[in-house]
Amino acid sequence: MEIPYTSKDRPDTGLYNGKVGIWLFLASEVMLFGALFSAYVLLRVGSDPGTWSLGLMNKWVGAFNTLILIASSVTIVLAWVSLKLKDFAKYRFWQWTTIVFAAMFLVVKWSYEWPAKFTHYDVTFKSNEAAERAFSGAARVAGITNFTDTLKSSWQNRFDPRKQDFDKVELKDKPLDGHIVGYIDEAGHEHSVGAVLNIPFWSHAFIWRTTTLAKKKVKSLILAPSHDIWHAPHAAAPGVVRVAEAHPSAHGASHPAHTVTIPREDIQRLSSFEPKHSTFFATYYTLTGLHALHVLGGIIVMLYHLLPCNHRLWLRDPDRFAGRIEATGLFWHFVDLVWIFLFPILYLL
Amino acid sequence: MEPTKTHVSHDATHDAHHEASFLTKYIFSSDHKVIGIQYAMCGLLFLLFGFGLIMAMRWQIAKPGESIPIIGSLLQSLLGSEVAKGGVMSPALYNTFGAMHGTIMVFMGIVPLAFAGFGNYVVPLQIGAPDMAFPRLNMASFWVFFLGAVVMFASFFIPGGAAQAGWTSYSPLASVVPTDGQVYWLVGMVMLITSSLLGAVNFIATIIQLRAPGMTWMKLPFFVWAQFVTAFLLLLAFPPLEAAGVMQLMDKLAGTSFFLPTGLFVAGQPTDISGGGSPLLWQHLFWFLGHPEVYVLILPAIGIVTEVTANATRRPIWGYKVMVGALFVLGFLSFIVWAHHMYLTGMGTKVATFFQTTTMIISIPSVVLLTCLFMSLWRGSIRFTAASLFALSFLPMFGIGGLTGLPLGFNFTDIHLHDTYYVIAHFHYVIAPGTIFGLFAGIYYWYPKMTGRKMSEFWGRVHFWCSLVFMNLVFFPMFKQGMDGLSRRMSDGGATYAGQDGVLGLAPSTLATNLDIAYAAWGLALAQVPFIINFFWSIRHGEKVTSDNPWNSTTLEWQTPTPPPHGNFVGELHVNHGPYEYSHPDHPQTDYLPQNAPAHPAPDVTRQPHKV
Repeated sequence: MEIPYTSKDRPDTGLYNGKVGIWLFLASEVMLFGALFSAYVLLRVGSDPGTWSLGLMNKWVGAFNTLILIASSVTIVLAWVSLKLKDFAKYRFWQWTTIVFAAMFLVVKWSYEWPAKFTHYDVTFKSNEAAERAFSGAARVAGITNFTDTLKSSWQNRFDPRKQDFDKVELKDKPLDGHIVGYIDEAGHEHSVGAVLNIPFWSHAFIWRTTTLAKKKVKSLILAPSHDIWHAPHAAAPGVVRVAEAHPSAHGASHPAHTVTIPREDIQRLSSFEPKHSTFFATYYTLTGLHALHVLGGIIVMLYHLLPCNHRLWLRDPDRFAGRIEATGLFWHFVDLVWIFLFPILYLL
Repeated sequence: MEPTKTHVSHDATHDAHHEASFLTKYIFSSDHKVIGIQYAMCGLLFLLFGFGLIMAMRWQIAKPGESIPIIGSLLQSLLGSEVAKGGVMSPALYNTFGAMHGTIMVFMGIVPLAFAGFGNYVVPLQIGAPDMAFPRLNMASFWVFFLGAVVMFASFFIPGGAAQAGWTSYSPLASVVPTDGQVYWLVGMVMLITSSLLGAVNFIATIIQLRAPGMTWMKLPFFVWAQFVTAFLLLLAFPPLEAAGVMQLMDKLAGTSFFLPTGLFVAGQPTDISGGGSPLLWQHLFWFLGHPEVYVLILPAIGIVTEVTANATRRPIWGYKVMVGALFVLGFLSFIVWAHHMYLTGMGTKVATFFQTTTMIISIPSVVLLTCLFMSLWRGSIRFTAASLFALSFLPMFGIGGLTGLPLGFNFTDIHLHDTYYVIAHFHYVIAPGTIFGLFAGIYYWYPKMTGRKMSEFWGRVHFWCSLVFMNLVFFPMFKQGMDGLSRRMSDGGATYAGQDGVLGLAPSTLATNLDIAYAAWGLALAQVPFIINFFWSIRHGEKVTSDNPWNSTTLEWQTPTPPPHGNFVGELHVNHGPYEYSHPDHPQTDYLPQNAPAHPAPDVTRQPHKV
């Protein structure tokens, strides 16, 4: 039994089966991501002042990822063109290039962007007095005399580009964010927070807080206010902080000159920038995570198309194989397009 | 015209040299007919199971707090004495059964049977295709569905039991019920949705690409059109629920607050969540699927009823093109009526007005379809078989279901009727004596093609009349109960409010009806016994068909050997005629003209006369 139109176009529709199939699949994908984008709009419009964390993303990293995805969209077209020109070696080259670009995208996302957020905490306070103590401390290590102006500009930068909500949120509900570089236990001893099992900085994001922090041995936290967001001249640079997390004795990030000690009883809520942190981060991880799974799926399909069995298919039925690469390319353009929407709504707007 | 050939044996099969093992032929098969039967058998089995759940619930409603006879002790030993102590159904178990009854009936019963089962078996045959466009994808679709069903059933046996928040799984309730059953439900749903998406892509691609030569769009049997529109509904309406399912999974597993509002208290305790989510968002995403889903359930049944009606009346379907148009209008409108399920959520009167308007408009194409089917009966010499009886009774039953929906579509009457038994009666009239009767008609009608034997006509009629009577006895009193104010989802059937004053109070007669309904429900169960026995008994002992086209039908599935071999059609196939050329005036020899009959049949005196 032979299914008709698997490689040749049906005369009256002008399409082969795979092309109809992939366009229908993409239509359903549009509805999937459409629903998530709608959820983003509805949640963002309905969010309370001071809860939608804009301006936290490193837009240059996002821009880099956007560029390599666009480049990979070009290279997969070149792979398909090579097949149409009957040049299988060139197809292999461009297919591998696409896979390398796609893998770079995932490496940036999963080994840098996400883990960096998992080690980045923010703290809100039980009382305005406690908040004032912590913010004054942060101002002192940053070398400024009055924290109010710095707080206002960094808060507006993060939550409120239209500069209208600063007075609507109490000081205790404004987060102080930074990296946890140490803690003081109930006996008064100071400990540093370092790498677990010698795995660098993101290991404590997953392990330390589920062990030490969850077991409530902590009396006070030692926090290095974040330079990224807390726009102050003398705060520790993020690189220094991360090195300090991994190798606490090597650098001075846990030095009192760079850190603030916050008693546990002052803390209303401590959360890293994980999905649970806020609806913004929930949306961020869900959207980028689902997109990243699509990238991963694309990589797997592209690797499959490099297997020997597919070379045999190419020799047997070149049109059919080229059709599969075309369908993969259409899927890949869609994945690229989704990212082109994700980049502005999560990094820029 | 070519005389009808009989190919009861398989010797004409092209693939006879390619002997498949039992495993690849019947279990991991990529043949659309085997997959269709797999889907249909699973669907029937799950329908029976879902029906069993509601029978236990009806006992609890009729006799709250009393031990369930026969299965009570079984429930206790299977699910533990926490939820079924002494064979009595606890409120938690009632919630579990209620949620799973809806889920199983809709997503694991009717969709697999009506869309995937009948669609897989019949659509490629009716369009003259050798198989689906993507046979291996088809197999994957079935097995993803099967895995999803396994996950759903497994959740009954975990600590805490299966999902308890209704088939709609409204958050925050669904996110805070103390069972992991909800996680299983969500994972199961994601699998079922994935399966539906793969199936929908396959159906649409097959219908667009694999129509036989000459099978132009307006020669497609109406059943194919119905499946085509249904596939589009599944393709475009299901993904938002998949997105919502992923978000609710994040709420359950990663602690996010997509659907959880700020300041949520559970059991008097503040929750450790960020808040900032929107419960309304879940309802929008759910009903964006939920309403088109209703048409996913009903359209295949309308398609079957159309096929059977044309065949039984021996007349062309009245207004075929109008029906196709109505189908597309219905499909489109079904995407913009969803919030009529949400009038009481406080989403605002302007929004409610919009959805009330679209809801009234969508009743027009439904009425067009029903009217065309009624008109098709006019002056027909109707052949009453088990199949056609079910198809004919579909019309008034679906009519009752549709018309009683109007008061729910109006904002102001819905305020009184919302969440009462009236709603239950309304949608069960659409789906139980509506869709399921359509599906029974399809089973009796296509059974000879699948097995080479007919089901017993006598027991089919017993099945029909008993089902018709008991269906109405079950659901009609619920209209009255609902208008009296009996709320749904009460595990004691409203006994708490018996004889109380004020709007919540219920009259004793309203509650007494619960017992009558329970008797009717058990009667309905007994009425299915002849069907089940007939179904299995006839596989080996039913009346053998003497022709490949025992109903003298026009459509292409009857032009194949019986049962059709792998690859379906023997020889060249060219379609020359419309789908319902019954009693054609230019062709007086027989009262039917198969779609692949020669274009201009010359008068042929040597032709064998057909028995009619």
